[in-house]
Amino acid sequence: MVVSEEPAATVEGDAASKKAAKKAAKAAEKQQKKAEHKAASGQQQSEAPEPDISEGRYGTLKLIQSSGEHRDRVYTDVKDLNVKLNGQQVWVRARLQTSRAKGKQCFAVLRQSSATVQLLVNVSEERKVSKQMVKFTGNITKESIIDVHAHIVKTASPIESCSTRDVELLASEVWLVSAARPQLPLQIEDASRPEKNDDPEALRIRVNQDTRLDNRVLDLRTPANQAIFRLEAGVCRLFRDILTKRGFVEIHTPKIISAASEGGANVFTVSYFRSSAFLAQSPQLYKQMAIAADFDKVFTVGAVFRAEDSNTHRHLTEFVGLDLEMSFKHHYHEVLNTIADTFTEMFRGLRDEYASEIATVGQQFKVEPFKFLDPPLRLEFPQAIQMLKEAGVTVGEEDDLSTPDEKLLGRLVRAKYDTDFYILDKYPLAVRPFYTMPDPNNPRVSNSYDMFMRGEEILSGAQRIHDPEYLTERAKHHGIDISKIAAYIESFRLGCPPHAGGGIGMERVVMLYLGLDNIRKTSMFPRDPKRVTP
Amino acid sequence: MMYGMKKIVDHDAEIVLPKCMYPVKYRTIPVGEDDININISNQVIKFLKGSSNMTELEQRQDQLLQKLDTLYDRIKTISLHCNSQAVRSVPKQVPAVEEVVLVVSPDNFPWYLNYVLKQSPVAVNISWHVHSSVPNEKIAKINNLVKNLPSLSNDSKINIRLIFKCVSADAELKLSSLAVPIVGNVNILRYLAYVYPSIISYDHNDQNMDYLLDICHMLERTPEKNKEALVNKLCAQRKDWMYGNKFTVVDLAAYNVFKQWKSVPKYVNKPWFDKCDKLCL
Repeated sequence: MVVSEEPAATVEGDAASKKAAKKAAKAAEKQQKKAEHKAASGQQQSEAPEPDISEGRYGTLKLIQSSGEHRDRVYTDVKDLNVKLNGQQVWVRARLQTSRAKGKQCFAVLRQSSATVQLLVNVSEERKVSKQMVKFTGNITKESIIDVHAHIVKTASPIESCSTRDVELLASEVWLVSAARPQLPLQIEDASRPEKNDDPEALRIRVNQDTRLDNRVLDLRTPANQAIFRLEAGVCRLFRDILTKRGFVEIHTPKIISAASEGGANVFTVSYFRSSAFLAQSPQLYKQMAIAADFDKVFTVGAVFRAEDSNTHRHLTEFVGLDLEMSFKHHYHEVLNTIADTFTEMFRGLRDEYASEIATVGQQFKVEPFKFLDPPLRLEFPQAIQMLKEAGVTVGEEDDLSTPDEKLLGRLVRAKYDTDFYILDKYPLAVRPFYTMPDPNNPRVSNSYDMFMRGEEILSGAQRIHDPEYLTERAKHHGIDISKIAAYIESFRLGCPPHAGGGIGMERVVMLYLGLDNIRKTSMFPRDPKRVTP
Repeated sequence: MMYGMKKIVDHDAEIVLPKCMYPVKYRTIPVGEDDININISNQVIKFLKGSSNMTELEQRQDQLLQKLDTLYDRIKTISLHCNSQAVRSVPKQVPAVEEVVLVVSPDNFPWYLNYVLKQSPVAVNISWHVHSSVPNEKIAKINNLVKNLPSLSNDSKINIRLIFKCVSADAELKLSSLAVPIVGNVNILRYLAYVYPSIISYDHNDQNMDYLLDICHMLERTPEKNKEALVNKLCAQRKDWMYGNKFTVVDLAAYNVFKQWKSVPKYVNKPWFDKCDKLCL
């Protein structure tokens, strides 16, 4: 080994050069010692080259290019390892979460999505495990994917640090399938540490949100994130299943549209060949056209784009919208009750089928169980104003509720009725869009409703005006250019049943169901005014 | 003179020279304010206030405001007189509450509710909800309990929301989000007696009645072995009804407790229990 000495540049005065000289001297001493040591050990090694008894039982696997080898091998999932399989030999493919090698032994923790198990590699004649194999295992970088052939062994005392507590793996073969680079941008351990820890001796290292979002691939591997997104999948699945059972049809509406549907301010413009088009703010128009096209009950799950420059904890520029629209016979409450019952069934389904995911999220973030009533609580707008007035906040009869008002109302409802989910019906007409049907008994009130979870709005819906003349009149009243919505009004001239509906944001529902504090936690690759990657 | 300037401070006033070297204040005789010694700040303020027009206007304004105040007071007293005359003829009523929440456990249904709903002079709307804390197995039981409740009517002004919850054992009556709830069936009955004095007879000055109500409260929580002794204490004063010769809040409270038990024991008087059953179911 060449010892290269580069004394530090002596620029300022004698003091600097003295320091530099000292430093150089120290470095030289260190190198010398190292060289001596190596020479000594080198001698030892050359004296007795140890034969590797584990030859051919460990190493880096050749790149898996589907060559046809090992197709008969059966792998066992880490979550299926338990005492019943004691003594059996299994193949496991998992990620190496951590490893700790010391002399003749190496302890490692293997992880497969949320389940972890301890792996033990120790030098043993009968299992043909050599020191070199132990060293190799200890040197595998964290987060690499490995194949392990091991015995399942019952442990004397339960292992606290793994999800599989009563068994561990005793390795006989270790193969590296895909290596991760040695310097990871964030440690999974740090990213999974609970937000608040009562133990004063626990490490306080946390990963902040921006770092997490920049390295989303690593961040998503934490058990809490795995659980959150599986729960989100559950929300979509339950939404689809519950509505399909009620006779709804899933449709897919276009996202590139020619005219802004509601208010023109918050749309993204895209260049469309020689002109431009917009990204859909909501599937409202198309849902209604589907109803006019005799589909009766429709729902759609798709992306929604809002160009709002809001950097808050609950706004994204792109999110997944779960929308539904339904025709009714005589009263829009038929639709309101359907939506409310869908929600109740969804909450029940999440509570019953995803309890373990909710518990996993609860290990890292503070999660308060979600409370709801069956049938759901429905209050009317005047009642809400009365409740707010009692609490000291005055809201005019025709005013909309501001966000702090909504939050306070949520707390008041929670105190009185002990529910996190409620419906507010009969909003004043003045604060609703032009296509909302007014109340026949009171011209200042509309047939519209909002639904709230934990004091935050998740759904805004109403009975839509299905008569083209009335619609034109209301549009004029709101000062909207009729020529821009001509196509929309035209669809009602072909006979349209009375209908109502609403839409929810999937990420917001999951965030509020779990009681998390930021919507970026529930969006896999979130988009906001400041973030467009990954 | 080149530049003439207005006099701000008047130096032409006569300066009175003191006759004694060190003047000392009289301690015993009160001294009045000296008119001549207007200090500089007062003079400046006077100047700034300008001509007498402004001060006049201000004075007139103050007078007008005073007159307005006296007028307002007069109107207020007149209106109070009017109101008090009207109020005297209406009997004292509990303030109208729009919606009341009654939280109960599905294992302990409030049987007095049926009696109140039947006898209430004002139509009462009752709706019910099952809380998410109730396990799915108990829902059938709840459906059984509520099928006898009257259905919704649109013209009643009082709403009761019955929420079945599996959290705490005690029933709670919540009148508003901000108030403390009324906890315990016996206390709820006391409140209902206050609201409906004509239906539920309760004399809050009668300590004996309160003593019997407290025994009912204890009965709800006592272990099996002490029940018989307490029931005997409760029934010690029983004649036609539990306390006296008419149906009182004590009968309702006692009936509610016995009905919530899985089976009515032998030491409870059967004819009395049947009479209560007829009234309440």
